[in-house]
Amino acid sequence: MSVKIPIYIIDDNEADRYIISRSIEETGLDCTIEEFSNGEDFLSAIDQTSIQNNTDNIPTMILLDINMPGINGFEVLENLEKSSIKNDCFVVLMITSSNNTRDIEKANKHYLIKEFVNKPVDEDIMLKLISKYYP
Amino acid sequence: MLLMQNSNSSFKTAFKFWRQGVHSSVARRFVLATVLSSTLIAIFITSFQLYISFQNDLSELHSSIEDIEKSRLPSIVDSMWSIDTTLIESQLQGILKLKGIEYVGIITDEESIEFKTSNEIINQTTYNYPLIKKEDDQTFFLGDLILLVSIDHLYEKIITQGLIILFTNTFKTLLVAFIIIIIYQVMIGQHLTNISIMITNNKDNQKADKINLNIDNSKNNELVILQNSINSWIEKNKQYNNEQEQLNQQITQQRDTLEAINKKLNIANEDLTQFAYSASHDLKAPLTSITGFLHFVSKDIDKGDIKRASFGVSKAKKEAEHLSLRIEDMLELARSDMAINHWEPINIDNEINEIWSSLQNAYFNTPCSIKVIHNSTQPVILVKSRFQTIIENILSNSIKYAHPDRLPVKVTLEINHSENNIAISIKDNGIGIPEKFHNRVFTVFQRFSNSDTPGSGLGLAIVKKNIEKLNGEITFISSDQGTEFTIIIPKIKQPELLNSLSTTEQDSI
Repeated sequence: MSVKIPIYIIDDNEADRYIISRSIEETGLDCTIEEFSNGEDFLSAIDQTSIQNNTDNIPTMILLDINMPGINGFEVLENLEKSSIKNDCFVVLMITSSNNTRDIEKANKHYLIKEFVNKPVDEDIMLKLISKYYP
Repeated sequence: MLLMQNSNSSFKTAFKFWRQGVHSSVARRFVLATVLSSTLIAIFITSFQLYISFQNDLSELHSSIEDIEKSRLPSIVDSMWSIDTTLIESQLQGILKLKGIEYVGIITDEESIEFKTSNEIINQTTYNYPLIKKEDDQTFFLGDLILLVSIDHLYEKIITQGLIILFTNTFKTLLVAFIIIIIYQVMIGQHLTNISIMITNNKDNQKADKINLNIDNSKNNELVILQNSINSWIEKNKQYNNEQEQLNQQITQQRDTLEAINKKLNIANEDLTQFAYSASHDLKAPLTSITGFLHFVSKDIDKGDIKRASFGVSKAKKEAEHLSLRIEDMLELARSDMAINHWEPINIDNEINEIWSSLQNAYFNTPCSIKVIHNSTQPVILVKSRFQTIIENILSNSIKYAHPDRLPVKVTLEINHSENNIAISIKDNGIGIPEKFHNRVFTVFQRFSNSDTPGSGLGLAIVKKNIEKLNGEITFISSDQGTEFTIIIPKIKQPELLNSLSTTEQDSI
């Protein structure tokens, strides 16, 4: 019995969320996708539920956008670090339309961010990424 | 007494001028040259005079000797013939008395009768006249008449005359030199000195004074001409310097203006670059989404999943509309920049009411109300299209960004007139602008809410551009209780004047 890979998508743009989740679906991999339109919703959701109770011991993949109204991607990570959740519970990839060098540097230096991906993504890109972290 | 005082002061003046003249090397040379040449000429002429006089005396002497020969000789011969000794003696004495005769004597074989003067003789000439008596046909030789003639006295005369002339001339020369110095100084020297002093004192070209020689300006002599032409040069120089200064000021002004224009151009250039960057970035996003959607639509069609395909198509359509709106707004922004201002009196209340009704129609789902406070019904001179754009954008923002818990939307619009400006404040009770975005509010493509809500992020940039074109400014305060914009626009008194200027000219005011 294969374990479903839990994936959270945090992006304020509905079209982008659709494209990412469709891309994941088209990879054929067995994933559970949850979408959040802003960082606050995501943070209050993980406070309550699944990650801590993850009995399958498989880390959650978090696909994080940078530019969002409210708190941005980096600020979401700050809050995540402050929470009680252990670092090996999740894999963070940044998916963004920003090609700002400062953002790239900041992401590369951040120990939690595993990848910096430019939009748009498609199923081939998602396949490679997910396979990389969930072999 | 008065005469004495007058003459005393004239003496003092004369002496003063004499002193000045003596100190002037020009005067000294002038006097020296004059006196020297005068003296040389005097010497020549005097020499000539003396020579003529000498010649005259000489010829007088000769004619007197001739006279002796002609008239006295025969009578002497007769006296000899009659052996009238007394007569002979007195005749001889008579000859001796003549000027120049130093010795007269008759010498015969036996004896001689001589008379001479006591003078020392240096130059002498001897004249020998044979005394011959002719009687009947016989010639008798009676003796010789000897004359010794000296011209010493003539030489003495020249020397004496020369010395006298020399001494008087020297005295005269000194006196004349003295007087010439004074005259020269009075007539010429003092003016030369004054000119050079006055010109030296005029070191500062700007404040040069005219020179005044204190001479009778009505006379048309060289000094007056010189004075006047120097003054006209001074005048021209002043004018020239003034013109130079003016030109320099103009150049500085022009340079300052150019610098200001340059700065403006640089800012505009930066704005443009920023805009191009933002624009290309923000236009790309919807396009990318459309491509993404269509990619999956084609997959869905291949799979036969029409429902999903049609969902994807409608999403792609929505994105295309977004893109189109965005481009529309960019054109609007460009148009705001380029449009020519046409200033005319506007009834503000009417405009606001019209805009509000059409907004209410457009956002019919959102309950909203507006309160307008305006203490004057006077029309204000504005550019109608720009005013409409500004008000429409801000009011539509108030409705769009309403707080869901604070409906209906309440907008307060207040207009205040001062002597030189009108101030418009627009306050709403919406969601406000988060503080971290406050410094980017009027930048292009900045949106602070969810990407899904309609709006291209250009609205406030368009508002700001239009306000700038009206020479006004806009500020705001915002919290999570709502936002208040304050717009100040200067009052225009003469629209016709402004309307006749080109856009760039209006911009530079």
